[in-house]
Amino acid sequence: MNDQAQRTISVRVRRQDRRGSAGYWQTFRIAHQPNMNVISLLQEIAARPVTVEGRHTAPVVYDSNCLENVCGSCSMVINGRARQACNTLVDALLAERPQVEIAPLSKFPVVRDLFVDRSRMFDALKKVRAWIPVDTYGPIGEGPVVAPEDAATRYDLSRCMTCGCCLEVCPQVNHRSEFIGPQAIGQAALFNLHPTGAMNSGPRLEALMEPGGISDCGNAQNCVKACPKQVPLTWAIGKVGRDTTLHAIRRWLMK
Amino acid sequence: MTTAVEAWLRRNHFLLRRLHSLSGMIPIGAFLVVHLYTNSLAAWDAHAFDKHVREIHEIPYLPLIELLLIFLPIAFHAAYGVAIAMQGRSNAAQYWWLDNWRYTLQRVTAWIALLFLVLHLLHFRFAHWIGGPEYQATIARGMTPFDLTQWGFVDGTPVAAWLWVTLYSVGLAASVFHFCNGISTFCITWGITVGDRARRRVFAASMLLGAVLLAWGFASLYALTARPKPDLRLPPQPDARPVALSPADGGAS
Amino acid sequence: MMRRRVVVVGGGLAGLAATMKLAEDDIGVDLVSMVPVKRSHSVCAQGGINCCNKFTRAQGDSEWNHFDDTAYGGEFLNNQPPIKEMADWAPKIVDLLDRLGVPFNRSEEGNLAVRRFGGTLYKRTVYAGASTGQQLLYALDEQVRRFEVDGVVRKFEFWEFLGPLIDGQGACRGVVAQDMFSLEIRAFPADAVVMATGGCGLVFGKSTMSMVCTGGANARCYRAGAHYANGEFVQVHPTAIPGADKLRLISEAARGEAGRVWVPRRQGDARHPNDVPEAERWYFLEEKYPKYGNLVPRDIATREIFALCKNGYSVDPHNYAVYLDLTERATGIKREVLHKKLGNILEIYEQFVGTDPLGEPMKIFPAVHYSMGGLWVDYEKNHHTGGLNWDSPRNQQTNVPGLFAAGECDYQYHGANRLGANALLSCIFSGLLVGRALRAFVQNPPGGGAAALPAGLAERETARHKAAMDALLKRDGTENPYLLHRELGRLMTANVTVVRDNRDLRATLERLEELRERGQRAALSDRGDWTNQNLSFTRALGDMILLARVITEGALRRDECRGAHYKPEFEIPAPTADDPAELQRQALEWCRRYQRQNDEWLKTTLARWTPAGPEFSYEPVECHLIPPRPRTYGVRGAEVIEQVWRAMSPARGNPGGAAGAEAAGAAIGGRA
Repeated sequence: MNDQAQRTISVRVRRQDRRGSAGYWQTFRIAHQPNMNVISLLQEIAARPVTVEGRHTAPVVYDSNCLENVCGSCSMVINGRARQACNTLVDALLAERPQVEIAPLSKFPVVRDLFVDRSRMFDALKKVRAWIPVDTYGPIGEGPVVAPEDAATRYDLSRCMTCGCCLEVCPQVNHRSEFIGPQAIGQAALFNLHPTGAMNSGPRLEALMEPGGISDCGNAQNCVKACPKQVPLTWAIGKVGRDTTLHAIRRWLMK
Repeated sequence: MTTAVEAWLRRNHFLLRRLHSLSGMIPIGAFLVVHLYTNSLAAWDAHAFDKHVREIHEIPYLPLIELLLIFLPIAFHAAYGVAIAMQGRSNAAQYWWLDNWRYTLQRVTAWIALLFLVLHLLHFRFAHWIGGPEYQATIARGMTPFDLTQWGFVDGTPVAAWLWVTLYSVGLAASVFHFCNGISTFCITWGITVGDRARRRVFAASMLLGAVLLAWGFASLYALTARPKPDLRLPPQPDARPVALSPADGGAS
Repeated sequence: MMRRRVVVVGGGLAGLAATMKLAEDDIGVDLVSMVPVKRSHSVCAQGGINCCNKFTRAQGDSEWNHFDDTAYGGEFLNNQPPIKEMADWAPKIVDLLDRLGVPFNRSEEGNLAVRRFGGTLYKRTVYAGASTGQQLLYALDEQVRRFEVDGVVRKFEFWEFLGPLIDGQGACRGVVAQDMFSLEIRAFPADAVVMATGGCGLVFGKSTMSMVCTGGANARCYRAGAHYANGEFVQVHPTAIPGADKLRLISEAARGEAGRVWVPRRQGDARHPNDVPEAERWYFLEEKYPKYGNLVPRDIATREIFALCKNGYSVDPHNYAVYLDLTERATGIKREVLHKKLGNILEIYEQFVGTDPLGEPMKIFPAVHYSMGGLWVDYEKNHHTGGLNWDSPRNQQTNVPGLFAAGECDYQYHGANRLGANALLSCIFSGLLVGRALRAFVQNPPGGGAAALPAGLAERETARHKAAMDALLKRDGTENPYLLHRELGRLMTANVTVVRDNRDLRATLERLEELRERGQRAALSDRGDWTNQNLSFTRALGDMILLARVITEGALRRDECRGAHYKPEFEIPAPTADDPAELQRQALEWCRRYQRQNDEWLKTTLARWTPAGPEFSYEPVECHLIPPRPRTYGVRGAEVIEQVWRAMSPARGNPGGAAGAEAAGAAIGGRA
């Protein structure tokens, strides 16, 4: 047996049994395998849910689905940073510090263990009317011509997977503030950039001019750095900032 | 009643936030630049400083202008700013990014600048409220603005000059950072800078301006505290008793 | 009048397409999904969506060609009316998606950009970077959200489908589902139910599929009487990256954008790939299939890669792997250009492997990717067009009245093998189609619909599921469901994927029976009543074993090679003679055997649940427009087979409808 086969990883997991109940920590020891990610640690715990003290416990509850950084389910705070559990490689974490520490996102209500309730982000999409209101789903011809650069910008914005990392790292998002968060602003920008969507940009901008909207952004610019999809969130915030400015002036002068 | 105010605040949320952002630039920021420019003259030429200060004080409707363009905007900016700052929760210790530190510093410096402002106003502009000399009366008695200011730092105060220098250095640095960093956030808020590169450029430019303002501020602070009195004053007028402020004149000890 | 109400289970592309279509017609929808619908597995689709488009049309392409490619690619096991209708609708569907704001890549002129995918000679695939599935899903999700705001759609996310509500007449009257947080079980009465619950990759343990793709919902419908069709047809994608928790797809777009598959000509060559000179690289697909090259259909590419690795050509000493090369040296395309087109999949490789795929070749290996089989669904042919009667409530309906299925969970569109970039199309098409079918269906639902649910039905079914849950929660036993799942995955991957052998399949069936028994002794490590994932997984494990049985037994029974189903024992040996006369004779023999094989096996496998195990029957495939022909993809030596085949079948290609016949004639002539 070589060292590699015997090596184990200490994994400290924040747990919470129910909504609103008190949290606590548990530590597990997992056999090291090459190429492990944080999801595979949680899978190992599920297969053998025994703590370092030898106590049998319930498998850690967590949200996950695609495991390739595109569905947005498995956001967690891993070693103090908000990220996707699927594309966070264990060897890279161990290079930072000897223990892996996994906690739920702190800006959302915990459902159980690492599983949080992110419905506020989906509600935000309703609020900013994040859709193109087409007349019919029938075959009435092609869509509008779009310049390749605009399509590329929209693609970058459209990669947002509602994972919540941007809200998690935003100092303006917390229980004392109503701030809607960068994600919804990015989505408003996405739809305002579409030729059809631009025709009804007004309601989207106005939704973001309310309390909790764009002007509650504190310009910390953490969102864009934490985004696992490199969505140009600060660009979107700047753009929506400009559009709301112009919209307000126009509304003021035209009415 | 409070609900009516709240409703009004909510209804005008966007406007108020934009006004808050704007007021930091114009008039408050603009005033800060002019104020530091004026002060900087003290470092080179006390006459020029005196002349400039006197000119300012000769502006017609000065109290009204001060009220409308300085005190009210500052009061609004400060009060609304406090409300905004209360909503943030800094995480710069967790997410160690420059912009995140700027976010935190913007709020920390706001608090410092606000306290400093109160101190500074009581130190000079409203010293007479707490028993100090009143500017117009003192000048009328023949004291130059330069001397009066220097007196305020050195002789006319129980606080040691080094302490004033320390307090003013911190206050100055905080105010300048708050304003200059505010330029770059102002540009984001209003949608003037949209892209990252534009933002970085404006940030660099605003920090450059900050360096100039700091240099002005420190130079004037040095001139008004440590530097020996320049011998460039007007000859004392016959009836002008030099610096004879005493409790009897309404001055504080 | 009260709004008609349909339950849609699953919120991937098919479920959302159905939902928005229904909502547009003001039919209420209860959308039940185990995950927020925006996180459904459709997000994982990378490459694109096929349609005949302006550019290919200018090169002589047509909807008919797309239809033909789909039939040929699926080795004629797909019924032709639905796939003809799908190909006809493809350009219209892409237009719709474009109008919905999908950020498709654009040409310089602002038109939709196109790329080429496997199994066709045309650049028929439109795409949005390398995450087309994500982009399409979001577009539909947005539309559904719009109707959610209007109150037409009610979403039940984090609700798990437990089973259909079947009345005394055998009709589906709604569903029973469970709140995955509170574990509340309740009935959702409906005028009709649409299953849009995707594939069953987790039956194979690790696959390219998402964690919800257990096939559990499909198995529960099968268990309740719905027929499961062509289960044995499972697509193994040729190019994926192996991982500890799952296998991650490298899209076919990588090859569509000129990626080349190769191994060193010398077995066990340990040099770094960048150090292997051109002359010593074996581009085996290009060599063997000069016409399609790296873009042969997936089943063929998979088999070639698999066989090569088995013969010692693997480029990784510990695992099976070959190179997929996107470096400028191999492709002749600049790094920036490829990065723009493939950014997302390159990112995946970089994130999970840690090397730059544009700097050195990627190491890839096949992985289970798509279930061609699924719930059997009906259709109604339009005798005039050869396609479908778009309004017929028979379309997408299972054998259980009122129970419909769409998307990957139905069996309808891909035959024995799915073409790349046809999945997104089939999901959206079948979703829209089922929406339209339901418009007619809900006007007169069986038994009077949701409003007239038989007394006690909902209560009875809810109580039954509750009792089953309680029993599971209380069960004691020594088996661990997670470890059993790993065993199941290893068993299925080893024996029921790329190469199948009857002896192994029989042994697998025995092992499956053993796993089933052990599965009944699996005890939960979490017996709590709040957000119990352990419960959900263990329940799904039983479903996976049930489907594994259907898949394996279907494979055992089907003694032939067709598409993804490959049994070397029954492979017709290719002509090898050098002498032209002998070659001709061999080709004739080949064609005769192929004809016999079609006579015997060109039929749909149907599995029906019985307490004793699946009961199999077969149904003919409707090949009325394009007669089956040998699926050779221009492999060397295929010309003679094709010649002989054409000579053998002069009267073919005369199906129903003058237009169809003419088109068929033209298309077949065009290919000659």
